[in-house]
Amino acid sequence: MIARFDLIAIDALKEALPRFTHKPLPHLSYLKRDQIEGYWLDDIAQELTNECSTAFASYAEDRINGLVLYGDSPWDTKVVGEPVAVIKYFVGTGADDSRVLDELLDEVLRRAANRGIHLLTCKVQPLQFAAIHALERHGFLLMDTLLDFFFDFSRTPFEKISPPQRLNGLHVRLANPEDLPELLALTETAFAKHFGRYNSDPRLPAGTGTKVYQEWVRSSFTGAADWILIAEVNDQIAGYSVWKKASALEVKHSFDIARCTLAGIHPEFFGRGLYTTLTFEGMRIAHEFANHLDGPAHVSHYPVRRAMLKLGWKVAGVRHSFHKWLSD
Amino acid sequence: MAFRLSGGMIAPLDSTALGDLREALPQFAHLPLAHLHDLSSERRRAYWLDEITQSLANESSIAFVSIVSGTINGFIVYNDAPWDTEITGRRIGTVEHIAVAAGDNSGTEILQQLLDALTRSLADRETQCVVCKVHSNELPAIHALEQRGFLLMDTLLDFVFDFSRTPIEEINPPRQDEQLKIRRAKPADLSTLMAINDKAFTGYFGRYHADPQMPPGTATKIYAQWVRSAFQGWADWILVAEVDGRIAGYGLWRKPLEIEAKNSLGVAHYDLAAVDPEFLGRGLWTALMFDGMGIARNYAQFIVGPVHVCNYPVQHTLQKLGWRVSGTRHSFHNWLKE
Repeated sequence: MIARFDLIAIDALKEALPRFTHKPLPHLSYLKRDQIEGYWLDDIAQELTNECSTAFASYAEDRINGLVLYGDSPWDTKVVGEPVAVIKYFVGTGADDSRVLDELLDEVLRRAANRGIHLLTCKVQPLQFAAIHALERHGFLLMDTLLDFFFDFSRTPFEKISPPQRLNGLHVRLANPEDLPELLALTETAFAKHFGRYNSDPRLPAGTGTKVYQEWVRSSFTGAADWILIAEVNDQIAGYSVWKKASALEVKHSFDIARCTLAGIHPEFFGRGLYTTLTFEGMRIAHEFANHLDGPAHVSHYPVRRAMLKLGWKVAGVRHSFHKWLSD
Repeated sequence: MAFRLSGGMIAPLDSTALGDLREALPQFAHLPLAHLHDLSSERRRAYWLDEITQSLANESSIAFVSIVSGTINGFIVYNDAPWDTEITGRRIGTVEHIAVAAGDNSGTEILQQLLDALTRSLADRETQCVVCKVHSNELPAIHALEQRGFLLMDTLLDFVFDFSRTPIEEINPPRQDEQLKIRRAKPADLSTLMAINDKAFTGYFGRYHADPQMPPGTATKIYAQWVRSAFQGWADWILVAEVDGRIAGYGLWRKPLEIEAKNSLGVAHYDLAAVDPEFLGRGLWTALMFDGMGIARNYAQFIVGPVHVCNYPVQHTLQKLGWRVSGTRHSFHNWLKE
């Protein structure tokens, strides 16, 4: 049976979480099971207090055997210009997952269409075979694959990392609000030929990817980021990277993490070590706050992969992104 | 047999049309040998055409082209997969080539029509499952496959080692356990390697594991057959790792294939390796890889090897030995309706 899930049933979900075959944040393997499940339960509870989020649970013999949670994405909606929602959690317990996940998705698609949603997005781990196949059976299309990079200062102290060779004339500093216009212009150039999910979706208007990353930069200056680093070469801005401390919920569950959320390099400076230096300098600041770092990169972004590995990061997780358009 | 589309036509492709296809290849979005950098477009296309010719020469081949205004703007080539069919007991085939002209806004639609034409032909043959691997940046092909019922099964990273970039002498040899010895396999080792396979691949997560319609145990059978064939000549060298005289792992390698040699591509292949779970963490895999690379150097400039995107320990080892990721491919399966 599929039923709307709300906060009243949160205890039943607490019992079910350990039975779900896939849990969020598998790339943070240093976290204990209780931390992940505690964080997950709190995050779901927090989402459900928001009227724009909806969850459905599947029940068999009075126990939960599947869950889907989705919510409006005001940020995507603003940039894309059409109503967008995100499926944040989509999991089953393994038994009869194919049917359970199909039924949960049927429910989501019906409700989302009724709410006027045009685009639904969902990220899943590659080993969530049942979820991937349910999404594809329901018309979701694969848009990109992200690698989750991870760094652990408790294994590799910052002092042990070999500093990257610096380009002559390169200077790294914290960004000022006055840098915003230049960073927006740089973002347009840096992401013009990028190949993320906003670029891969043929239904999104050309240039959406760039707009998304520009909005990201803009919001980073208004609180979404904790520090932004600028790479200047001979006093001209040539790149940036955006960093964030742990969220309040992550702090509550002792995640001890900081993250690099975005970086952009002017194409003229590709292959000249700016990304590596920006990441290294970001790590220098981050290690004051956290023992662990993470950051995503597109699976086909091989230069980023090489830079991260050189600095001692490891690939610790993977996610596929899917999109489905509900409107014609 | 030909199917008319709005503004174009789907028609069978056979070896007589290879001249037209050769003319059209420069227009296609697909980059052959994408994982090998520094190859000219001409060499890539020559290799691709040889591959297509080879596919079409197979008597089980089914191929179609999409033609608009007399020009080929898409094609698909399929062959039965007797090896998979024998092991699984299901009639399986492979889309060996699927491509569409670059910049064509109707790319996905053209590919859908090609897939439809193929599926109609396969109905007579009672093919049950069609497999297709595509590069992760070929979005029109990925979307056409998904829209025609193909499901994503796994993602492979193409690792490449380039001896011209990293001489093997510059790699720090792995620290080797004194009890560990790497040697060439002998026929008598086969049964031990099969037993290692059973243990090593239980709980693995490749495309045979990911597909719920594959009969139970398929994946283990596939890997077992792979090793068996390696001993029958499919592999060019098989290395085994012995610890205290007990075989605890193996690696399968091949020299450049005939088609690669013909195109002067010095590419050796690392195909499969497994370590007895009891011996994990003792550097066997690294030692097997390092010694295999030493042999490969005699035959090739490059070594290529695919690794599952979630197989982090193997990726980590290859990176430590100087390999780089140069490509990404997704595998799709489609079980055709009875």
